[in-house]
Formats: sequence, structure tokens, C-alpha cells
Amino acid sequence: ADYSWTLQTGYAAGDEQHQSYVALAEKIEAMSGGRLEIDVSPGGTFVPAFEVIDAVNDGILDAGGGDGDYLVGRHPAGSLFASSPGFGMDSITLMSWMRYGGGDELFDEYVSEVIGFSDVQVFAMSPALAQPFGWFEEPIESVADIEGIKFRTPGLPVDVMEEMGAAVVTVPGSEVVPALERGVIESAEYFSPKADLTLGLSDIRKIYMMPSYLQIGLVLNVYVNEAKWQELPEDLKAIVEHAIMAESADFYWRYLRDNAEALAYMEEEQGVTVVRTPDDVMRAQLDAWEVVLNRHAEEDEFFAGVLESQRAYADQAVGLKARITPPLNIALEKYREE
Amino acid sequence: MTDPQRPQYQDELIGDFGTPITGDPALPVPLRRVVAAIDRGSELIGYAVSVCILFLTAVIIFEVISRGVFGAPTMWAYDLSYMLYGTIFMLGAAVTLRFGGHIRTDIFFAKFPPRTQAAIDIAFYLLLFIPGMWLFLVVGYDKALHAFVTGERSGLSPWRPLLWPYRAVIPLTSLLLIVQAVSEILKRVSVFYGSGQHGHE
Amino acid sequence: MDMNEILGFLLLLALLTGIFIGFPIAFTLICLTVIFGYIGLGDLVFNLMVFQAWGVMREETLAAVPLFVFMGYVLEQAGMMERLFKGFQYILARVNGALYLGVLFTSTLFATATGIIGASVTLIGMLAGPVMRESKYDPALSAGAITAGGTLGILIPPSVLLVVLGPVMGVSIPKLFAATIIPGLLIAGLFTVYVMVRSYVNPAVGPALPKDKHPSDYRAALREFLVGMLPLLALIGASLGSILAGIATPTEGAGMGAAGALILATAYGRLSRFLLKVSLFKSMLVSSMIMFLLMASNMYGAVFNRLGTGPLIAETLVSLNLSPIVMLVALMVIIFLLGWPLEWAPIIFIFLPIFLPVIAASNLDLLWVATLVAVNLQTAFLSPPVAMAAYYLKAVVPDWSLTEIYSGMLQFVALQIVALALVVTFPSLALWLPGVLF
Ligand code: NA
Ligand code: NA
Repeated sequence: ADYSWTLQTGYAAGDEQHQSYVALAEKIEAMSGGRLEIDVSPGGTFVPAFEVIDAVNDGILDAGGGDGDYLVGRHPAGSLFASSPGFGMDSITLMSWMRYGGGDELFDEYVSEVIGFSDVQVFAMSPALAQPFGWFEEPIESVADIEGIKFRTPGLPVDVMEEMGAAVVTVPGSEVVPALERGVIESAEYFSPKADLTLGLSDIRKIYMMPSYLQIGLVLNVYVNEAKWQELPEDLKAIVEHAIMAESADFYWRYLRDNAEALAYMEEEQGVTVVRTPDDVMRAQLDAWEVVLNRHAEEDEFFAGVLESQRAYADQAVGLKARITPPLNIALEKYREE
Repeated sequence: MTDPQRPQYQDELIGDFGTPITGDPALPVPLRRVVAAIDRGSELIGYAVSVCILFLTAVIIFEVISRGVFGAPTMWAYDLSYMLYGTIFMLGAAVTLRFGGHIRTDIFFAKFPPRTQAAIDIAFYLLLFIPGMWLFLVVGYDKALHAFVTGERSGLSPWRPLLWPYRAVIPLTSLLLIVQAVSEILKRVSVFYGSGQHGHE
Repeated sequence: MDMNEILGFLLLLALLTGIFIGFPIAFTLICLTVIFGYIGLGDLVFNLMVFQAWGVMREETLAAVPLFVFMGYVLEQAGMMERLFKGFQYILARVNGALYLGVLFTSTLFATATGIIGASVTLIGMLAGPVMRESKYDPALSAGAITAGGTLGILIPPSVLLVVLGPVMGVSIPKLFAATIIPGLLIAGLFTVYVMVRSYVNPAVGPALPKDKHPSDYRAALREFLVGMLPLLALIGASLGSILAGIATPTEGAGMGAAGALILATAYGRLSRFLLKVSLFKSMLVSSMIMFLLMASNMYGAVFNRLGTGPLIAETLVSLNLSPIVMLVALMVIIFLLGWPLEWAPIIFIFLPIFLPVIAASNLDLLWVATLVAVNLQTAFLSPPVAMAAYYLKAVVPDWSLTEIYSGMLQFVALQIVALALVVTFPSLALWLPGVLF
């Protein structure tokens, strides 16, 4: 290989997010005829998961993988580029906003100026479906049921659940499963049916609630060290950019198959019951999000600017998508009955 | 070997923990004062840091009661727990060095004569320890500065405290270790040029 | 083999030399890592090491270490440790090796509540070490029982090792937890049988209490048990029990143990400013020594990984196209050998992924393989020169030489190889319980 990169993600080896970087590396190697090789390692191999972007900026890692939710400590706007509800924009719509609605420019500004990593090239990749509400002991039937529930979630959703009255317990990643097993926390959310199955959440809890506005999806990021990026010839740069787009589409397609299979397996083999989140609870989630987002927007101009850009884009894009997409439950009811 | 000049506080406070060495009269008085000042400074910082263990206990008890009895977990116990624990072991490293508490393989070392032991240690401190810790200080300072400039906060809990003070613990630890290393070198120089009576206890 | 891969090998050699010459181990690891990393990676190595330090500093679960150590020192300073083990001796006065039983039982209890080996080795070392010495127990076997017993915490769930290993191997964490319970208890059982047989064959390694120290009457023994032992047992039980009952996380359980020790010392009328000062100061020193060592071994592992020496070894082996079962045995041998200079984390992150495609393609049950890997990795804590359990113990029982500690540990490593062979031969040891539970 003419170029070889070390890439570390912020995810566990079995996570779909991590696998997406492995798949990206395969695509790039194939497209470049082996001229650019990327060695992909999971979170913690060289640096802690939360420090990936910092390490890429320093050049310890040639490239990295993570998402904006990992950056909320550095500046809360990170979540707006990852999983926040974005005025109803799902991940694919968010990708559209980033590429064609000014989001990419804002994200570049966020990374290089707001959080001060000027030696990093960033790319958006692999939009995911909405994340389930989570695993519960008893179904949530009304907003009142959330009051006092011991719940575990990361990032800005912590603030949202607190706003809704949950007792959010911060438990380190390595303690989530034992804490659930023993009841230190009552309920938790992780990422997707497949990821939740792999982590073993369906072994511990049987009530799986969805959908949810807590995290309407997720968009991943590829970070590349500026010097490593600049030394690539133009054709390899183009290959990396287009491989990221190809993997984004491929991720979504794979994701649908894998998660559909995972959910079916959990329902049929493991006795998991999927419970639909009541509409009132979802409305309350959006109300709580609004409080949290407005609080940050008032304190921070950049945050407010990103929200404004999203609101304008979502007004048309979500407007189109909501009106043009036939409701899926009508089809589901028809074909499941037959 | 028992050193008659073994400081009293060691018997009282830490018993037979570690293998510190004491200086030899071969060291000129001004330098012996430097050694004494550094050692005393490290001890005082050590006492202050050790009290953090009490705070840590208190924080945890508060959280357990607040969550268990009142169903209301605190926002701050999680962040405070790791911050206090990290501060304890990092800032405690210099005083641990002062008491010879960083463990070594005694299989061969214990059989060397005191002058050889002193020579090995001097080479180690000058060639490896001080340069390594110095670079650690520089990089640690950069990271703390970046956190300060960008207003970085912890993203692990809803409390979101500013992180730069905790990040500053790394360069501070390096600084304390370098200062303590100066005292350790002087003590070993005195042993090396001295009568050979005062080696490791 | 490129320049950096050769550097990795040289780093291993230099490490052995440095550690055996007698530089402080933590700083040998740090400083050699700096030098070799600098040659191979340039000044990036310093950033890499600061990241590792930061990673250890933000690991909330490790806050349990200073708290359990503090609990131990308060109990020791208040003279309550002595009473605990005197009481224990009274009850089992006529049994050879009674203290070994106490150590292994407490270790297993600790292991089911926490996954922090630094905490259990130090606390049990403080509790039992001095009494074992006074009772003329064999130092090597005593040190071996404490270190090996302490490392059970990383095998018996909950355990960080399993939480990291599960996703890498693609097996569910609760299932892996279930799979390691029986092998973990089997190892605890093997340890117990071993020390008891040794004590009966040669009573000198674990002597019973001399006749003149036997309790004069049963009322005295009962009194010692009720007043001297029961409150302490209740304290340890409450601390670990609150974790098991889901009232507290392991760190919180440690905090409750520390607070409970202070309350107990007050109740016995032993709490004084001096006691507090001494306990705090010593706990700080020991915690600092332990965590600095852990941090140093993480730095060393990260740089060793980044130099890329590891994959070379593994890739050579994979390219040999061995049959699945031969590959499994080869994997076990490699992991065992790597466990001497490395800790478990770099082995899981770097070596396992290289072997995994071969193992996965061979239709071996991954849950079973993951259990074997976990049992195998437990030995990494017990194999010098990077043998954390030995150093943790040495910090609290300075009277035992490292040579004695090493020789004791290696006897237990041999027992673990026996256990590993049993789980290889009888996969149901690992697979039966997860099958019943899930
Ligand atoms: Na455990
Ligand atoms: Na080892």
C-alpha cells in the first residue's frame, strides 16, 4: 500500500457503528486497488473512546470514528449533528441538511473553531434509523410513569429525561449490564435492536419500547488528520469521499436487514414484547427537548445559529417527507392481517 | 539495614511502607536544606491530598442515601467520584516517591551495595525519569490549556463540570514528581560520595 | 518485519532488563515506553501517554480502590483485623490451613461483588497477610492464595474484562457472565483443594494453632466470635451485599464499606485523629502506587500496540492454515505467553481480532471460546514481569519478598492451566448455565 492509516473508533467491536468503519476500510481498499489501507480498531485500543477526535487532531491516530453525541461535553451543539430531533429530521434528512443545507459548513466551523480541533477533516457517514426508547421493567403508559424511573442514557438525552422527571443515573459503560441485572438502574437505552441484542439487553429486560424522539437517529463522523489528508493525491481523496457516501447507503440497507432480523429473533426466540410508546409521551419528549435546546440556544450564539439553520431546512424537507410518505402502519396492518 | 536517623514520622505514620533513603552528611548543608524542604513540602501536599479520601467517602454516602432513600440521584456524585479518586492517586505520586513506595523488583537490587544502588538510581532519574516527566508536563499542560480555552466540560453526566482543573492535575503531577526527583537525586549523590553507611533502609 | 515491529521486540527486552535491574516498575514502564515510542512514533508518543493517563483518571469504577484500601487501613489501625483472624483461628483452631480457607472464601465473595482486582488483593492482603505471617504460614503459598484469589474478581462476573471481551467476540455480555460462573467457582474450588491438601501433607505450610493457644472454653470462643468477628463480618457482608442486592454500584459499595469501618472504629472506641490521619495517609500512598502502576501498564500496552509488533506474531500464526482445534490450542498458548509481558487489555484489543476470523469460520462455539480466553487472561495478572497482583500485594505486605510472591503465584498459575484444560475437555462447564438461564 502507498498509504496506510490507523483508524480507531469510539465504539465497541461488536457495534454496528464500529462495523461501518470496517466496511468503509474494505471499500476504500478495493476502490483504490490497495493503495490506501486502513487498519480499524475499536474504542480504547489506543486512546479512550471520548478522546478520539483529540487524538486525530494530534496525529496519534491517522483517522477516527465517532459521532457528535461524544462531543457534547466539548460543546453541546455536537448533539445537533448526531441524534437530536432536528425539528423532525430523521438521519437521512439530516444528511441532506448537512450536504445541501449548510450543515457541513456549520459542522466544520464547530470542529475547527468552536471546539478547537483545526487539524481534522470531518465527514458525515452512515445514517441510522431512530433509536428505540429503551428497555423497561413495565411498559410506560403515560408521561406520569416516567417520574422517578431510574434510567440510563448518554449525552443531551440525559438532560431531556431529567426534564421529563426521570431519575437519570450515570453509570459507566462497563457497569450498564451488571447495574441493570442487579437493579441499580431500572431501564436503559443503547442503540438499535441488533446492538441491544449483542450487548445482551434482551437477556435482562423483556419490554422493548419504541418509537421515540429521544434520539431520532444517528449520523456518524469520519475524522481524518489534516496532514494525512493533504498528502493523499486527488484521486485517492475522491475515492475516500465517495467510499464514505457508498458506505452511508450500504449501512442503511444492511441496517434494515440486520435489525429486522434481530427484532424478529428477540420477539420470537427470546420472548421480548415490543410496546408502542404512547403519542402523549412522544409529544412530551419533544416538549422536553425544546426546553433543553432553548436553554442552550439562549446561552450560546453558535448553538442558536445551528438550530435556526435546521429549523429552516426542516420546515421544507420534513414538510415534504411527512406529506409524501404514506403511513407505514396502514400497509403493515393490511399485510399482517392476510 | 536500620538507619538510626530514620525519621520519626515514618515510624508513627506509615510504619514499614516503602524503602526511602535518608541523606548522608557528605551532602553540603545548603543542599541538605533543599532536600529537607522538598521532602517536607511533598509530605504536606500528601496530607492535604489524603483528606480527599474522606470527601470521596462522603460524596458516595450522600449519593447512595439520596438515590436509595429519596429516589433522587445527585447530578454531581459521578463526576466528583472519579475526579477525587484521580486527584488522590496522581497528586499522591510525588510523596509516594519520597517514601520509596513505587515498587521495584528486589530480586537483584537488594543485593547490590548501597553505592551501586545509588548510582543505578541516579542514572535512572537523570536519563529516564526527569526527561520523561518533563515531556509529560509539556503535553499535559497543552491539553489542560486546550480544555481551558474551549471551555470543555464533562459530557458524562448532567452536571457537566468544567474539565480544565482536572486536566491540570496531569501537568501538576509531573511538576511535583520532578521536584521530588531533585531531592531523591541529591540524597543518592550524598550516599554515593559518602561513607557508604546510609543505603536503603 | 519493519523498523517499528523490531522496536516492539526491543521494548520487551528492555522492559525485562529494566524491571529486573530494579528500577521502580511503574517508572520503568513509563520511561521505556517514552524512549521506544519516541524512536518509533516521534513526539506523538507523549500525547498518546497523556491520553492513557486521562483514561485511567476517568475510570469511575477504579474509585473503589482507594475506598477499599481506606476501609482496610481503618480496620487495621483500630486493631480489628487482628480480632477477625483471631476469631477465625479460634473457631478453626484445629484445622490445618484455616487461614487459606478464610482468604479464598473472602476472595470469592469479593469476586462476585466487584471486578476490581487491585481492591481485593490489597484489602485481603492487609486483612490476612500479617496474621498469616504471625501464624507461621508458608509465605509463598500465602501470597499465592491472596494474589490468585484476588484475581478471581476479573473472571467471576461482574468484570470489566468480560464486558470488553464480549463485544469483541460477538457474544452477549449476560451470557458470557453466566458462562464464566462455573469455571470461576471451579478454579476457586481447585485453589481450595490445593491449599488444603498441601496443609495436610505438610502441616508446616499452614499450621493449626498450637495447643496452648486453643480457646480455654467454648464460652470464650463464642464471646470472641460475637464481639470481635461478627460486626466485622457484617461490615464486609453489608459492603459487598449492597452491591449484590442492587442497592449500590461497586464503587458505592466500597464507599459504604469505608464509612462503615469508620463507624465500627468509633463504636469500639478506637477512632482518634491520629488513627484517621494514619489511615488516610497510608491509603493515599498505596492507592497512588497501585494506580500509577496500572496507568503505566496501560501506556506501555498502548504504545506496544501502536508500534504494531503484536499483529506480526498473530498474522504469522494465522497464515499457517492450521485446523480449528489446533488453532484454538495455538491461540491459548499465545494468549498465555502474551500474558507474561502484557495485561489483558492489549491482548483483547490487538491479538484477538486477528485470530477471530479463523475461530469464527471453524464453527467452534464462540461463547465457549470466549470463556476459555477469559480464564486464560486471568493468568496475565499472575505472570511476571508485568504481574499486577504481585505488586499490589507487595505494597501492603512489604515483608514478603517478590521472589516468594512470584513462586507462590506460579503454583496457582499451574492450577489455572488445569482448569483451562478441564473447560477445553468439558465445554459444558461453560455452556450449561447460559443454556439454563437464557
Ligand atoms: Na467479579
Ligand atoms: Na503478566
